[in-house]
This record gives sequence, C-alpha cells and structure tokens, in this order.
Amino acid sequence: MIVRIASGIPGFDDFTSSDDDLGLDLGGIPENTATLIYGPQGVGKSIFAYAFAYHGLTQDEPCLYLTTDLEMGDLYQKMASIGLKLDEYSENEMFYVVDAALSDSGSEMEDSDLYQSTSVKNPTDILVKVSRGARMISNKGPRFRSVIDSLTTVLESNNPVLIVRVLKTYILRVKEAGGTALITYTEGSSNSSTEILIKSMVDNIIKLDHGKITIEAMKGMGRKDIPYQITEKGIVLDNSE
Amino acid sequence: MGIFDRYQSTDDTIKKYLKQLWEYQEAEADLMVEIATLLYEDDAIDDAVGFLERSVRIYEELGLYEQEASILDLMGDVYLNMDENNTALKYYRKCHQICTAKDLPIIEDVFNKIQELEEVEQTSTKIGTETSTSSVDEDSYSEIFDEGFSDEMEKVDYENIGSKLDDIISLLDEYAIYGSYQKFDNPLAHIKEAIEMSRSIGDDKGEAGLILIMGDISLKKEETEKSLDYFQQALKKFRKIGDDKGEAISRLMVGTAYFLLGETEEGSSYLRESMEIIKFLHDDKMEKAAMALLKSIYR
Repeated sequence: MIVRIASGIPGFDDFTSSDDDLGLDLGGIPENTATLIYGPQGVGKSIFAYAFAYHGLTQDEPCLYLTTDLEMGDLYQKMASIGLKLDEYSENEMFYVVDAALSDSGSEMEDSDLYQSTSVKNPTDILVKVSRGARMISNKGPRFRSVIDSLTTVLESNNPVLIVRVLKTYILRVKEAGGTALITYTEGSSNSSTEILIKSMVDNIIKLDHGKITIEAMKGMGRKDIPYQITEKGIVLDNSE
Repeated sequence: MGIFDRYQSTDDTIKKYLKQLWEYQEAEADLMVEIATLLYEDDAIDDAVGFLERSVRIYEELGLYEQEASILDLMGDVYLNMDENNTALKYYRKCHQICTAKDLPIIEDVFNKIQELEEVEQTSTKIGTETSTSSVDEDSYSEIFDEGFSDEMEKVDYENIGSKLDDIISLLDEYAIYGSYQKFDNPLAHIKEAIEMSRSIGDDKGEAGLILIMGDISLKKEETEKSLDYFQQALKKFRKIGDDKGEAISRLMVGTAYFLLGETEEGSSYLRESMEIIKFLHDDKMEKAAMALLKSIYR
C-alpha cells in the first residue's frame, strides 16, 4: 500500500485514491516522494504549493519553503489572501523559509533559525541553507513537507546543468530527512533537454493547464485528468463538493 | 551455448558499457555546445561560455582534440566579439597549442587570429601609455613595487594587511552571501560543508569564492602557509572558469601570502600580474583596494 499525505487541494485526494474495497488507500501525494507541479504561467502552480504547505502545517507537519519569486513578507500576504494564515505556524516554529527572492539590496530581516536569506544566483548557498533547514525541521517530527516555488527562477539565473544537480541533491536531502517535496516549474522556461532531466528526477508529475489537472506520473496510479478551477479559496477540483 | 557463457562475456559487457558511457559523454558535450549556441543567440553570454567551458573539459577528458580545439577557438571568437581581446587571445593560444600538438587543420586560421590580436594589443598598449583611462596608472603601482618590501619582517602588520584583504575579498561577487558564513560559530566547518556541496553540484565559481574565503580566515589566524594553499587553489579554479576578477583577487591574495612568508620575489610577481589584470578590468573600486593593499605591504 502506498502511504499518501493529504494534499490540501479540495477534490485532489478523492481523485487520486484508488477504489480499495477496504477503504485503506487514501488519496493524496505519496509520502516521502518528490512531485513536480508544472504548466504554463498563471495556471495556479504556486497556489497548489501554498495549499500543500499549509495543509501540512494544520496536520502538525512542519514545512521547509524555498521561495524564489516572492520575498517572505509577500509570500505571507499572498497565502493570507486565499485564507492561509501563517502567523500561528511561524510562531510555533513550524514554517521555515529560505528566501531567495531578495532584490540586490538584500533583506531587511536578519537570518534566524526559521528564516535564511539567499540568492538565486548562488546555487551552493541555496543548497547549504535548504540542507540545514531539512536537518533542523526533521528533528521536529517524523514527517515534513518541503516546497520549491519556483525552480524556474533558479534555472533562469544559472547554468541549467548545475541546477539539475542542485535539484537532485535537494530531493535526496529532503527524502533522507523523511520529507515530501513539491517543486513548481513553468513549462517551456528551459530547453526541452533540461525539462526531460527535471522530470526524470521526480517521482510524481502533475500538469496544470487550461483548467485541467493531469496526473502524468504518480506512484501507484496511471495517467488521468480532471477539470479544476481557481477560486478565492485556491484550487478546487471539479469533483469536490 | 552454455550456462557459463555470460561469465565469459563479462569483459565484452564492460567494454560495451564503457563504449556506451563514452558515447553518452560525447553526446552530453555536443548537447552543451548546442545549448551554448542558443544561449549565445539569446545574449546569455555568461551561461553560454559556462556550457562551452564544460564541453571543453569533456572533450579533453575523452581525447576528442579536434572538438576541444574548435570549442576553444569558438570561445576565443565569443570573447573577441565582446572586445575582451586578452581573454580571446588566451583561448586562441590554448587552441593553437592543441592544433600544433595534434596537427589539426584549423591551425592556420587560429594562428592568423592570434597574430591579428597581438598586433592590435601592441598598438593599443602604445596608445594606452598616452591615453590611459585607468584611475590607477601603471607608473603609480610600479613605483610602489620599486620601493621594495620592508626588511623588518617582524613588523608585519597582519591586522592592517588583513583589513585591506577584507576590502578586496568583499569585492568578489560571491562574498555578499558566502562572506556571511564567517558570522557562524564555527565558520570553517560551515565553509567546508559548502565547498563539498559546491563540488558535488559542479559550482566552480561558488567553490572558488568559498576557498578564497577559507584562505582569508586562515590568514587572519596567521596560518599563512595554509592560507597560501587555499589562495592557490582558488586561483586555479578562477583561471579554469575564465573569471578575471576572481583571478585578480586570488593573485593579490597569493602575492600577499608569499610576502608574509618572506618570499618577496614570488609575491611581487603575483601582485604585479594581479595589477595587470585589474588595470585591464577598469574596475575603480578594485584598483583602489589593491593600491591600498600594496601600500600596506611595500614602503
């Protein structure tokens, strides 16, 4: 039986559950795997990541979040705008942010146990801080969630071959520490050979495109798709009540 | 056909796999060149050069000299288009070396490029002596070199030189991030961990910067020989990736370490070479920081 963790996306867990007679195989994201969420711009990849991270927090699963597009303050605001308020979890030291979205002027925030600033132009530093975060967060409990939102920005600022290696090491570190990783990536932002390499490194591939969510690859299930909508509460699959 | 046939064919299998590996590596290098071409067309020059550098290393490793030479030639062209004549010349010369050793057909073409560039450089040097735009002219640092080192080595002011080196190393692109590791309780352990990571992902630029910072920390602890070793390693890395700024900073560090060890001639040579690169880079900040360092070393 494949152990899955709830995604936080209404309808997604039902969509990915198998028709097990005993009702044991609950749907969701397979635990201790790496999932790629990809698709064109503006289809809700980040919103998927927010819901995934937030739902884990509500289940006492800490989260290691590498943000490359939104600085931490903006990330908090963006999540709050769809009802996902992080303050409580930040206070409880459940939400660990590696902020690579800083402008050249740098961060106004001091680095701390729960916040580390970095730069998309320094892949080694990203890896150092993410690895440190994974080690720290794995001490808090048996499972945690880890998000990269998004890989696109890191790829745009570096040699793609280098970033593919960073991704490989990142996935390894998160899995070793017992975490479940989710990575967002904008389709077409790298050349096709880089995209093939990225896809070959993850366990699950989910595509969001034109109102349709497609499971292209996932442990224990075949390819399937379903329509979805982006509402004020985030992504909602059409099978949800 | 017997059941032991598979054991007899182990050598063949290994050979087959090695051949496959070789082919994959060659394909990887070819792919890198294609990526570099696309990046170059998109004006992502640094990334394009990065891919070309990597492809050169693979071709070299595989003994594909013709490909290696043509990519070096191509890199020379890239730098020439950016008016970085010295760097272009460096690549053409490397290419020429291989062409000579392996009798490759592009030798004449490369030789002509080298000759043309050398002529341009000679002309611009003559003009440059009259119309140098550099904020620090050669005479001013040559004077400092001519004044010579302090004879009283016991009076070496590690603190003063250390602060000047800090000013220089902080000009390194990577320092803004990696320099912060020095704030940790055990900075060397953190930096070593980062170096291992940079090696594992092939981040040469990051690795070079980190090694340089290791050297700086060692120097502050007055572990001069150790620091020299780090600085040399960093220099080698920066040269490998064609990072002139990193090379200039590393040479200043190496020269200073030699000076502190009493090997003044060797030190002087590195410092002079560094100043040549810095002059070429037209980086005012670096020139000023380097001059301040030279003044603290020489009298």
